[in-house]
Formats: sequence, structure tokens, C-alpha cells
Amino acid sequence: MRLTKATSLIIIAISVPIAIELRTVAGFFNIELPLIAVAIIEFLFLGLMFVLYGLYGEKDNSVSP
Amino acid sequence: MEIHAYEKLWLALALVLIVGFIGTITYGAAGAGIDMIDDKGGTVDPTTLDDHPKFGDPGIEKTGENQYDVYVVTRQFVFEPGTTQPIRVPEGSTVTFHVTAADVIHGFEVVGTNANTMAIPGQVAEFTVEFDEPGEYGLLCNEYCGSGHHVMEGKLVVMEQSEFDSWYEQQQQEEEN
Amino acid sequence: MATASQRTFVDRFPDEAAVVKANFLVAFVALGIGAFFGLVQTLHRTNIVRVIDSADYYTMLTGHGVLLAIVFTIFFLCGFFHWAIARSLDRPAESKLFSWAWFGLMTTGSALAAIAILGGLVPNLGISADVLFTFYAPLQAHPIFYIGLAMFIVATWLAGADWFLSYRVWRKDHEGERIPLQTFMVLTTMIMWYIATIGVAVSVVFFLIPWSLGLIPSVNPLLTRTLFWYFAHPIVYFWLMPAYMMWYTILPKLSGGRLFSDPLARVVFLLFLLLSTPVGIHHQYLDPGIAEGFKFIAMTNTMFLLLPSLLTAFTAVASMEHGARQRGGEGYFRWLGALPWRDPAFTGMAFAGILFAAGGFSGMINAGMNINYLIHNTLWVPGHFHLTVGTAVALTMMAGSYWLVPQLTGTKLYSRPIGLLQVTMWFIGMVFMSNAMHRAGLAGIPRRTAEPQYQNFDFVTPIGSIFELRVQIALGGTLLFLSVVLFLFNMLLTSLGEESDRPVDEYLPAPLSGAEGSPRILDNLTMWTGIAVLLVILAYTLPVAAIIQNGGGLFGGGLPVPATISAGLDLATTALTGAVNTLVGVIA
Repeated sequence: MRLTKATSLIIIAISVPIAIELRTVAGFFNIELPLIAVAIIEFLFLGLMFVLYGLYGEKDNSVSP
Repeated sequence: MEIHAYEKLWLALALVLIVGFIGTITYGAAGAGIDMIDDKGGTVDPTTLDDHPKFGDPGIEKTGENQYDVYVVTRQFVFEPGTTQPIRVPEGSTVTFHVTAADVIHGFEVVGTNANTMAIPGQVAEFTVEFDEPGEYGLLCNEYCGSGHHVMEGKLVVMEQSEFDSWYEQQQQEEEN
Repeated sequence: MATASQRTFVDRFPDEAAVVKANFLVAFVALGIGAFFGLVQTLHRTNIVRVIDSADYYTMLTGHGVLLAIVFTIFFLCGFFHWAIARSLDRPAESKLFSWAWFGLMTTGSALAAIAILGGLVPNLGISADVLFTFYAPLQAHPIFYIGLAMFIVATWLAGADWFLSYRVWRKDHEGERIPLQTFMVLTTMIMWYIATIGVAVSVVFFLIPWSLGLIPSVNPLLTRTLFWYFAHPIVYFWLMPAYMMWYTILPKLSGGRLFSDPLARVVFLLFLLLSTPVGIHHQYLDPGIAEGFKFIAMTNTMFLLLPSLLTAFTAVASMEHGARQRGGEGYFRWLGALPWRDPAFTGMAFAGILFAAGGFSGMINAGMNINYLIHNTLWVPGHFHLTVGTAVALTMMAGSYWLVPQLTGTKLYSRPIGLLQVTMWFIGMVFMSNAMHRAGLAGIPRRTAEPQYQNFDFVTPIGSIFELRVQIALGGTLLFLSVVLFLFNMLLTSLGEESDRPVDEYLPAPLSGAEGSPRILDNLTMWTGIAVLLVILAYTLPVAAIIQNGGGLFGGGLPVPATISAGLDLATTALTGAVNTLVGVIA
């Protein structure tokens, strides 16, 4: 599966709500996560996704076209 | 009719979930004793509220040891009492509220708690609340009631017992005079 | 079936396509205006940008509710159903004139109501209807608001008659055949609607119109409110059924496969027909004057209403997985990647489904009679229904338009990437807005108010701050508005595009398991209607009788009831009082 513009858009869309609710989850454990931390985590996650796709994405595609 | 095995499983789980929900709610009502607002408050004629023995002069009234009745009239855009005077109740008391509306439908919500009811002209909402500790709560109308809906608010103060007693006595005297 | 012809819908049924297009046009205009009001509100009540007076907020809120929840959704539904009947029965409507007549009446009714509402923004006009979507008496609107509403409802009845007529004529030539699935869905939905709208019709025609004209001095506020909710919970399913119909009949195709099971789709629609109406009292859990037993009955019915939605969730996901595997998807979860995410029609519906699941969970909280105390009339509630009607329905309709509108105009969709961006923006915007609304509701912030804060107290939230919840609501609302702008822009340019021979792949494949294997009784609409009516009578007779008796009669206010009515009424109420008391005794 290749990383198309569409795929990246969908990944962003689905990860944003999860990132936001990370704060609530952290709140249950009495950890106050500031908004900026969530933004950084989200960007790191997206960065990681894109790197992983860059490394392994094409190979995966050749296995299951 | 052919139903896929997974779908049968899903159907069964869905039914378990539904019955489970109904079970918890039934427990909440019967076991934990969370009463619903219902018709036990009776009715009242909204056009002659001012002549009503209780709603004519709404407020708090002692009915027994640590037992109180509070009568509240909601009208555009005030709680009587609540807005100009806070509703005052003592700590450690059991208070039965009787809420009605004089003009249109209002809401009566003690902010951040589950003391919440609709106030409908002609109907009296009756519910009982236990106040453990002293403190202050906000009071607001949560049903749109006209162009000034957003200014309809008030306060509920849970007072220390001694403080409340002297205030209550003073109120009684003023009324007698 | 559509296999017979690969020609575009507009070529096969030009007259029907024109009616559908007209319905969509009104729906989209309402969507644009309603979304604009939404933007103004979201920025006003969060104190970010204030261009209106707080008193005018309620005029805009009424407009937002009526234009989006009534005009947009129902016009879209009528267009979609008209399309579905012609397509699935493979025949044109019986009378072009009749179709245009109901469309004309519906549009006139909407225009009257809209004039009454927007009149509130013009101070010296003397016309206003600042009563919000729920129009609870004794708040009063100008008579033309109620008259417009009545015309609108009657027009939807006529539209239903149009489709039933098509079905009857079809039946003559197709004796013994199963009702085509889409037609079955249209007919069951319309039967549910006929039963449900009786409530609002009685309320508006017998009470609110005469009262607003000054013919009767007062109304019984609890009675009109109960009649409103008798109608306004099933309306939720009236919004939802077209979305479900798309998830059942179009989404599987878009994902590259076919519907999982035709019979179960029928069962689901029948369950909605039976259970949609006898649940309205769950909106009145906190109303005085209604006995706890009646609320309990409404609650159990509501919980069972989860069943068809849970079944739908299964079918939708199963059909998508089947489609993905047809497209070469493998693995437990990797098949998700094989879905056609670049197609805005697919992606929009998939997003709508995801958020509908979230909305379903918050709905279960609302339905929980006692936990509802905590969130009743707080911002939680709009948070909930912006996920259901505001996303499951509205986003599915917009996504469906990317596939439907080219069939009506004969032109290709102007831009798929813009469409994809649009549905994604809706998803993200709605996540921001509704999530923050749910949390604000838990903090006790009320719904339907123009001001973010009060003088006597502050709201507190256990995690984060109220300020950031407000920012999330404003940001989400702005994204949603921009999303609507993109959608309307895409639709406009699509309709202006060049004609194409095959603008979109219209073919809908047959389900994996067809209707043949299912019991014939599923198609016995008369019997199901009878059961639905019986359930409604059981759920509503006693509460309504008690409300009339205790709330000062039919017209309330403690005012004397006219002699002719009271004579018959006394008889009925004394008979019913005994029954009420017995029942309450049994339940208590």
C-alpha cells in the first residue's frame, strides 16, 4: 500500500481525535498534558508514519498489489 | 433465512448489552434510589400562582428534623428565590424542591450536580436532594425561555447549621411582623 | 435492476431527475444558510467574534435548527427517495404534475416558516418565530410559522403517496415478486413518518395555529410538548433512514463489493418502523406531570432501538471488508488500506459511520434515565446530535451527493480531491466541536444560550480548561462551515460541467444473500403497520390522558374547557384514570 495524498489525509484525520483525547486519558492518571505536548506528539507520530512508509511502504505494495 | 455465524454472535452480544443497560438503569432507580421527576408534585394553576399558599411566597420551610421544603417559581428571567436572594439550605439536610413556572417552560439546573429538572407551567416538579457539606452552587435555566434566557441565573448556598438557623429564625420573625 | 441499462439516470428518467434536482437545490440552499448561522453562533457563544446581539442569537439558532434539521435533511430525503423509487422499481412516477405539486407545497411551507424566522432579525416587521426548533408553547411564534410547518408536513404526506402509488402500479405487473430493497426501505420509512407526524399535525393544527391566531386563549404546555416529542424522536429516524439506506445499498458498492444480507436490512428497517415512535417520552425524563412508569417504558423501548443500529454497524463494516477483499485486501486489519479512500463518496460515508458510533455511545448515556440528570439540556446534547444528525446524516448525504448528483446532471464530479478534503474537514471539525461540547456539558454548561459565562459562578472542568473547550468548539465550527462552502462550490461547478456519457458508475450489484431466502412475512407491510400503531397506542394513551386530565384539560391554563369537548372528555378521562392508577400501582 503506497502513501498517497489521500492516505495521508485519512491518517491525519483519524489520528487527530486520538491525539486530542490523549489528554483526557492522561488526566485519568492525574497527568496534566499541555496542549502543546499533544501537538508535538501528533507531529512526531505523523513524522514516524511517513518515515515508516518511506522505508517499508513500497515493499508492502509489491507483496499485495 | 440465512444469518452468518459472526452476525448471530454479534446479535447476541448486542442483546446482552441492551439488557445490561436496562439492568443498570433499573438498579439505579430501584437499588440506588435515584427517583425520576414524575407526577407526584401535582399541578397548580399558573394564572393564580400569587394566591397559592406556597408559591405565593416561595422559599424554604422546615418540615422536620433536618428536613426542608423549598418552593421555587421560575419566570422570565428570574428564579424566586435564587436570583435576587440565593436559595439557602443547611448542611447535612434533606431538601425537597417544588419547582414550577409562571409563564413559559424553564429549566432548573444546579450546576455541576444531577439536580436538574424542567419547570412547566401548571405542573410542579418535586425532587429531593441531600446536601452534605457547606458550599456554593450556581443555578441556571437550561431551557430556552426568551430573549433574556442567558441572564436567568442564581445561586444556591449550603450554609453551616448554626449560621442557617439564625438566618432562618430571622426570616420567620420578619414574616410574622 | 439497473443491469438492464447502463444509461445514466437522467437519460432514463429525465422528469424524475428534474424533481430530484429541484429537491436537492432547496436542500443545498438551506444547508448554506443554516451553516452560515452555525458559524455566527459558534463564534458568538464562545466569545471569539461577536457581530450580533445576544437577543438575536436565538433567531439565528431557530434558523440553524429549522433550516438544517428540517429543510436540508427532508428535502434531500425526498429527492433521494424519489430517485430510489424510480431506480429500484425501474419506472417513472405516475404523475409528473403530482410530483411537482408536493414539491411546490413543501417549498412554499418552508419559505413561510423561513420568513417568520428571519423576520425576527428585522425589528419593525412584527413577524418573528424565536421559538427554536422545538417551538415549546407558551413561547409563541407568528401564525405563518405554524402554517408553513403544517403545509410542509402535508406536502411530505403527498410525497409519500406519490411513492406508494408507484409501488401499487408496479405490484400489478409483478405479482408474487419481493419488494425491491430500496423501495421496501422507502415505504417502511414513510409508514413510520405517517404515524409520527400525526403528533405534530394535531399539535399544530388543533392547538398552536388557533392559539397563535387568538382563537383559543391558551394551550396545555405539557400536552403540546408531549405531542412534539411524539413526533420529534421518530423524526430522528426519518433523518437517519436515508443515511442507512445509503450505507446498505450504496456504500457496499462504493467499497468494491456488495451488500452482505438483504433480509437483515429488511429486518432492521422493520425494527425502526416498530420502535421509532413509542420512545418520544425519553426526551421528557425530567418533565413533571409524567409518571415514572411511562418513562421507564420509553427507556426500555429506546434501549431496544439500539439493536437495529448495532446490526447496521455490523453490516456496514462487513460489507466494507467484503469490498476491500474483492479489491485485493488481506490480513486482519490491512484490508482497511485496500478501501477506495480516494473516493470522497466512500470516505465521507466511512467517516460518518465512525462518528455515528461515537454518537451512539453518547446517545446511550442520554437514554439512561437516571444518568441523564447529569447532562439533560447541557451542551452534551448538541454535542450528541451533531454526531448523529450533523454527521451520520449530513455527512452521508453530502458524500452520497458526490455519487448521486452526477447521475442527475449527467456531468462528472468537478473535483474528487476537493471532495475528499471537504469530508475530511467535516470529520476533523466535528471531532473538535462535538468532543468539546460533550465535555462542556459534563461541566454543566447549558445548551441554547448566547452567553459563555454567568455572573454568579464559574464552570469547572476536571481536565484542561473551559477556555480551551471554547476554542475547540469555535475551531471545529469554523472548519465545518468551510467544509460546507467547499461542498456547495463543488456541487455548483459539477452542475455547470460538460455533459458526459457515463459520469459515474451507477450500477448497484445484488446482495450476497438475496431476499429469496427470507420469510415472506417481512414484506407484509399492512401487518407491520398494525403492530407499529398498536405499540404507539400502548405507549401513549395513558400518559396523554393523564396530561390532559391533570394539566388543566386540552387547552390548559386552568381555564374552563368548552362544554362540548369537556362532556366527551370527562367520560374518557374517568375511564382512563382508573386504568392509569392501576398501571402506576403495578409499576410502583
